[in-house]
Amino acid sequence: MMMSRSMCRSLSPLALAAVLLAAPAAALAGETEDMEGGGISQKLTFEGYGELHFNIPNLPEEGNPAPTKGDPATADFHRMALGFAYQYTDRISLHAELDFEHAAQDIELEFAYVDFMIGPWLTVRGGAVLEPIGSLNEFHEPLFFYSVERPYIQTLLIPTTWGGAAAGISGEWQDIRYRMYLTSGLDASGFTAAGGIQGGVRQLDQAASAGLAYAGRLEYVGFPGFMAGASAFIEPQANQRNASPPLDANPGVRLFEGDLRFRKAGFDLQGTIVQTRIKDAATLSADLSENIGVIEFGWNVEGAYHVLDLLAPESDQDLVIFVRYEQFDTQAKMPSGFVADPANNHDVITAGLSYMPISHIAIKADHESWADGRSDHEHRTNLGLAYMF
Amino acid sequence: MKPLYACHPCMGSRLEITLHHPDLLRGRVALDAARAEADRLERQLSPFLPDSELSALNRSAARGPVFVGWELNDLLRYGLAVARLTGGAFDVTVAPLMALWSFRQQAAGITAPSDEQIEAALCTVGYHRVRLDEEHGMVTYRTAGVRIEFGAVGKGYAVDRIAAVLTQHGITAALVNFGSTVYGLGAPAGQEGWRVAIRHPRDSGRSIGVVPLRDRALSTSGDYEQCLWMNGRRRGHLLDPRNGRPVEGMASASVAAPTAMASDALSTAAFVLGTTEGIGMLESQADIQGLLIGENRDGALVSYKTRGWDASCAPNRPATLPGRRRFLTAALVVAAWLLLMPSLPSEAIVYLTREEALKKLLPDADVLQAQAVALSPDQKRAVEGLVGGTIRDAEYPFWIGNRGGAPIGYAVLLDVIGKEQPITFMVAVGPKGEVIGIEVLLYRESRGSEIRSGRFLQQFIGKTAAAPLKLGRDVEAISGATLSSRATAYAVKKALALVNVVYLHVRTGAP
Repeated sequence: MMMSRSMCRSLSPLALAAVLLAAPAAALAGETEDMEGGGISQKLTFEGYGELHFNIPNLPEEGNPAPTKGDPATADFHRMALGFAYQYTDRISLHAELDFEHAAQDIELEFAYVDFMIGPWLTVRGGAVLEPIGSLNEFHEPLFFYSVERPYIQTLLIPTTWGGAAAGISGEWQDIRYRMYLTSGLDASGFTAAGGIQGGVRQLDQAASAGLAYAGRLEYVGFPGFMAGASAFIEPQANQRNASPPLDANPGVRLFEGDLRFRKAGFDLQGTIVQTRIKDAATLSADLSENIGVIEFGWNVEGAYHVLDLLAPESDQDLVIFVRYEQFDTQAKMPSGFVADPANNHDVITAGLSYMPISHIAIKADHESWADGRSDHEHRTNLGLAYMF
Repeated sequence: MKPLYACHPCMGSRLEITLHHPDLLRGRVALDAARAEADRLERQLSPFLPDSELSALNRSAARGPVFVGWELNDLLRYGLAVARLTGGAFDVTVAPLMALWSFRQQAAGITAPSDEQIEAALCTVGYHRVRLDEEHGMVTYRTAGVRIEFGAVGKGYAVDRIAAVLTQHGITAALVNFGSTVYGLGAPAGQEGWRVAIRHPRDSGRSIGVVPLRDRALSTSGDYEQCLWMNGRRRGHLLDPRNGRPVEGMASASVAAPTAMASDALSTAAFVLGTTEGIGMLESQADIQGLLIGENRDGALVSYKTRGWDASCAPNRPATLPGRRRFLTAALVVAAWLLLMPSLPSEAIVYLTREEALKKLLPDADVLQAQAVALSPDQKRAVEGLVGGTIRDAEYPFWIGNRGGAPIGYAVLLDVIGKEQPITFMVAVGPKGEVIGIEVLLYRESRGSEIRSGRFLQQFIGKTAAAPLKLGRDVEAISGATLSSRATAYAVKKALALVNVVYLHVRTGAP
């Protein structure tokens, strides 16, 4: 794995894909070491993941993620995250992850929290956590989705990776999992018309002055391969206290999410639905000179098939084809007196494939087809290399 | 504990005191002292009693300096300060105007005084006509005919004095209601404060808010106590000292302040100033909150609040605070419980002991034989060939279950890393090389313990070394616990390999 990391700096993803495809499968089988143990020590374990993307045309960093015809193609070592866990005792552990974005130009603390396990049904957790919203925000490693970029409702409506300073509990009981946190909230002064609440996520150095929020998630996993999840994020007052200039608005955020996933016999089906309601959006829109929606709404469905299950059942490799439909609008409902920009109402179809020579490395290629309320049609093609260790 | 209650007519109004004290006698003594204090202040401050200190002042101050006591001095100093703050919207010299309007109302019904009469009265009204030498307690009226009356602010002052007397008598929770002012001393047991409702200015049966008062006063000036109807319009009894006419466009002004004297004076001042100016004036003062209700020309009511009103006074606060308090209490209980433990639990969560696991996996065995097996290099290579990778340990604990002298199953104990920490499994394999059971003995991570669920483990029963044991292919993972699921599949694969190589003598070529 060290080899692949150093190689991705020097080689284009296509060349690397060719190298990996040419390698005999037997030479790649080494993953049992993960489960046999023997890291730096049993107490301290390292892990991480990385993503290298090639977008044609490029993907805007914030706001409206739609492609613009004629924009240049970009290769981006999008992110490289290094995480570690330290096990103080069998019950008390520390988990932390640093994210080096865009070839280490931005460094973000993804999370750093301490867990104290009282029982499988109750773990007390405190520190910098990822909000338990949706199925992807907390477990966002690139092997957990098949597309090159994360699904767009999970970049915009749920601003993955979305963290906060929090204290709370989590646990597992029978087939139910839960997480409930009291967490630092979003800063409404960062909300935008096109990006919605995305710009309100604060790095932890500023998070303390934002409002307090309640975040929680319930998951039901009663059958192997099946999960039904529901999440909520409720921030009664998202007005940052020392915002300058101070806001007249008294905004609040209520986000509700539901998701389903079912995997069986090589098929993998999933869907997510999100609605966010912003209180006092009219005054906030006037404050920020941005037409902030009262409601942001989006949903997606995805179907995937593991082709080698049919073609080569004995193979250790994996090849997935998938297609995803997404519909989302950051201005689904506007405060009276403000109009929505139809360009913020998106329909996206993403289709592509993901090849996993071993379960910790994926080479991905997909094509996105975008339409918006102005009936503009644009396209983007993405290639990517993803790995975790 | 039953509250004690006293009602006492005083200063042309009713003084009502409610207090909580466990000792009935001490409570009554405190009530008597409070009544005596109210009477004493009335004798001193009443403009209607000819021998009050105030009457003496009004008689003589126009002719030359009059010495006043410290209480009258304090009251005057505060009254003049509020007058300066509000540019005369609140004025202790408004009495001649009040008399003029009140006289007209009684004698002639509803006609207003003439402009000439108002102009004449205004010549004796104005705080600048009073000179106070605070240091020496000397008061001079600069104009003949000036008369000071303390009206509302005097009752507010009396409430502060009464609260002080109650405190001196050891009372920690009392509600003092006098005229338009209510003062909450302390709070009833178990409550955040005395909950006082502000009545709707047009409907005495409705309230427009409930304010918790704890060592805090609330005064409401309204036009509903007395009013005139003139030309079809309601005119309140509150006069604007600056123009000599009744205030228009206001229905009520409620002000909460740390002292009753302040709430009383500022509610009157805010009423006269009107909604916009009134809010501005209140917000310029520290620790003062106000709710002003204005009335449009078409009779619609509009409310204006100071910035902190909702946080400190609104009725939603008592509703949210107990929730927060419950949360804090729960957090404290958990913290105390953790602190009281001699040491924090640090051992892994044990679902099953080895004995319990063996009983579940090999229930039919009459003899269980334990064996620690060290793999020979050949055996180790054979196992590695079957699992498709290197294995770390060469020694594993086995148990052979026999029934009637023949083996019915082989169980092996092994650790496999889940996400970060090892999970301890025991897997049993039958004599034909098929999985007959899996148990999780120890689990060390806070996520993924659902791999213990029967529906998940059931998938592995009957699998042999020939099965791929791949997630998503012949076994499905627990969604969201992929790594623990993968660890389980690996544990089964490795157990099958070990039992096959050690006991069933399967030979495979090394990779």
